[in-house]
Amino acid sequence: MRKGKDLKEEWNAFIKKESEPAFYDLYTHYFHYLSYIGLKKGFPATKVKDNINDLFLYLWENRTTLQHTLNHHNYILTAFLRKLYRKESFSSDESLKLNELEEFGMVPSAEAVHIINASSANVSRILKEYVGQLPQSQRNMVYQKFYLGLSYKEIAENNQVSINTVYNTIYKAVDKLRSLMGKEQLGILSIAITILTAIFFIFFKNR
Amino acid sequence: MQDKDLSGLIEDESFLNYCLGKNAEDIRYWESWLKDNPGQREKIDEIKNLIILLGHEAKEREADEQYQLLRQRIVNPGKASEPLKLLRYPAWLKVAAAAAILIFAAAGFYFTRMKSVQVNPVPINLVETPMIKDHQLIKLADGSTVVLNANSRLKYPRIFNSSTREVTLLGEGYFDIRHDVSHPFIVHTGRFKITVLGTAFNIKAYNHEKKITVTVTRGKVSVSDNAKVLGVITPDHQLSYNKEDNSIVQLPVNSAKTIEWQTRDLFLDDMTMQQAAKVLEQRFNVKIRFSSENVKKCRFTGTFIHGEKLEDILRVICDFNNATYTTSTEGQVVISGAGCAE
Repeated sequence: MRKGKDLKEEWNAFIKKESEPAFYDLYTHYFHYLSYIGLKKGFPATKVKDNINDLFLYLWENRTTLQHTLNHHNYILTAFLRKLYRKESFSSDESLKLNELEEFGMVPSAEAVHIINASSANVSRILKEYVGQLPQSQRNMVYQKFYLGLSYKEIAENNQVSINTVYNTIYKAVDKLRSLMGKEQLGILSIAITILTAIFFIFFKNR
Repeated sequence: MQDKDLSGLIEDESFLNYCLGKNAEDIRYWESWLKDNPGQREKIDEIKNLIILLGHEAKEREADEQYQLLRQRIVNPGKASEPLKLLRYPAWLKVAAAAAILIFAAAGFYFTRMKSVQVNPVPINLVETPMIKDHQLIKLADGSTVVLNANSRLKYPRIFNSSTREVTLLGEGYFDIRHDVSHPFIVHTGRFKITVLGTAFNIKAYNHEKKITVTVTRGKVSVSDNAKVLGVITPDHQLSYNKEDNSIVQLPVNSAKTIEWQTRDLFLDDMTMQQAAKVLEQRFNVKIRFSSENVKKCRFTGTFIHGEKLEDILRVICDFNNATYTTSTEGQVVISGAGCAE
């Protein structure tokens, strides 16, 4: 699992070569990380997203003046918190504390890639089609629950809906996808994860 | 123990933690629960899989959609953050809008069925370069490279995950494609399709120019539009299409001349000093030596596209890597330095 600090090469490629692929990699990494922090701090989901995009627009437009930023991770984190709290002087001490925040598990996503690879093309197609047609607000909650791992209470507050709404949305998403996959795909899925668990076990032991 | 139903499991934060591998205690609890209830294992695995897959796909979409919004703002700086504000209309307007969308959707559905049009799935792993000002080297996931000329852009997937490798070009690009018979490489430009297996060729397709030209330096390239193959081009040949009168001409050319615009470019992309020295030795026909081992390992990225002289390039990369260089009387270059701490 890669952490923000490991993205130094991407940062350099973005700053020095204006590489958009590198910018995209930085964006997708920090999009999830900053979403997690912003939502954990109880800010509304829309505000968190707006602030992330404002920040990255700023980074893009000012890439030439950022040549001397040594620690891109602290820079991005501090700038984000400053925007979020509307504070001009968010001290780096305060952001350092947050820095210690576990960079939450991205392993589920790595697992997902393995599951998709190990199962049939059908699984991936059904999944993409289903998530693709979810209304944005519902997909948002699925993201916050099953990727960021926020609690039902946190999601309800961040999205200004009732806990029951969140719970129903999440339940329906799983139930619906389960029926779409059908018995046959689900069988393949179970085998995939059994193999996967073995792989991950070895993977972790070796580290 | 009791039979767990889906709704109970989804409500249970500790079960979700187990699925996402989040909390050691919850993981232990559920592992041991599964040992006591082996009959439930299959169902639990199923649900766990679905949860992981849903989280992954939602995450990909979420980031990609937000990135597209960001891109729009980068490309049209005037319209800052407008698209997001649309989401905050009063409730009654939302209902009206929803009703309107429903009507259009129903109409759309009807017409789509009438014509049985295939709706393309939205590509989610697409990268689109900004309109570049200078030359830029783009490395594709399969190891192929594209050098883009000024005022050009390329749309390409981060990962090639279908049976063909497809990209879209606007402007001019020099393609060097890794050979892969089972995954043809296709460049879309306007209504043309250039299909290759593994070759090097140049495409020039600027919107404001009346001609589109494809020139091959190596291998074989097929050019087609929606309906038919327009021509197969071999090395040192060029196919040129005139947008105004729809005429197509194939003629022999000196392809070196067509690709001259980028032959002097030097992309030292994520290389060690030692690798860069090899490139420079070939390009400038000189010998480069290192006086210390450490400096060889310095890794960097740099681009020189204005036909810089060897001295200029050496000065820049030495400065960057904490090194100095001298030229001996026989013309040999010696690089020395303490190396790079990382």
